[in-house]
Amino acid sequence: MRITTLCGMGFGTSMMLMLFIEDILKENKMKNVEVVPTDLGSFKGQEAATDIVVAPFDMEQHLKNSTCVVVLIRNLVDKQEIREKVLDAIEKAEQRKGGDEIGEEKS
Amino acid sequence: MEYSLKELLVKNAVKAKVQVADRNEAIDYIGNLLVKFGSITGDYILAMKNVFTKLGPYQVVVPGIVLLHAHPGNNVIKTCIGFVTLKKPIAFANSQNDPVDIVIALGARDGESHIKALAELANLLSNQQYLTKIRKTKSSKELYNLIISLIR
Repeated sequence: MRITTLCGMGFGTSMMLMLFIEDILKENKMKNVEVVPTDLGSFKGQEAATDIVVAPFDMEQHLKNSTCVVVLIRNLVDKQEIREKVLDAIEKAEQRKGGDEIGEEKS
Repeated sequence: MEYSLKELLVKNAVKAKVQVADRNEAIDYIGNLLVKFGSITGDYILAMKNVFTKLGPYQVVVPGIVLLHAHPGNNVIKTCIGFVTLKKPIAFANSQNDPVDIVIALGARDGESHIKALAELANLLSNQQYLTKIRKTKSSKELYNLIISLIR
């Protein structure tokens, strides 16, 4: 499964999100989830390969028609908020995949 | 080469209780500090402003705190961080986290060497007690020393 963290440039906000999410995945022993920071411009090309997109709240307008599970974060350093929303999204993404194991390739 | 927050924080671009009227003035203020001390070019200030017009006010990523940055590259002379607290909070038009009273600017020469500093910054900003201390501090010199002392 792939989580993309998104911001305008792909090296500030999205990197910060990536660091927190990697911690959360480690805590929950989820090894088969990769986290990739990216910028809005490059995201369109990666969307099909992404299961979950995590972005700061006010990026909502850019994600209205996204095919991914969309997670919007209000406070980027609130690990509790990120944990709850991301774990919930992973569950949703798994259901979408039809109950496949995390990390299995899409057929 | 990965830099720490201590290495990237530009002492002369740490200012406490600054008075600005609006978003553009705030970006100009912190941007000009970084220009003055040779960390970025004037074009980078413009680039930081353009992020708001092109992508919206998403950079207010923590309640009351904006993390300004534009694309890494040649407009950045040295990878750097500026940190300014405001006397009066101002609106950045963010839907969740307005008004803003802490303005942080990041300039990166490349996409990676600032990650350690970013992690240290995130750690600092996630601690409410630290933020209360930062917001209370009235002198710029004290603010710089405080931030350095809070880095974990």
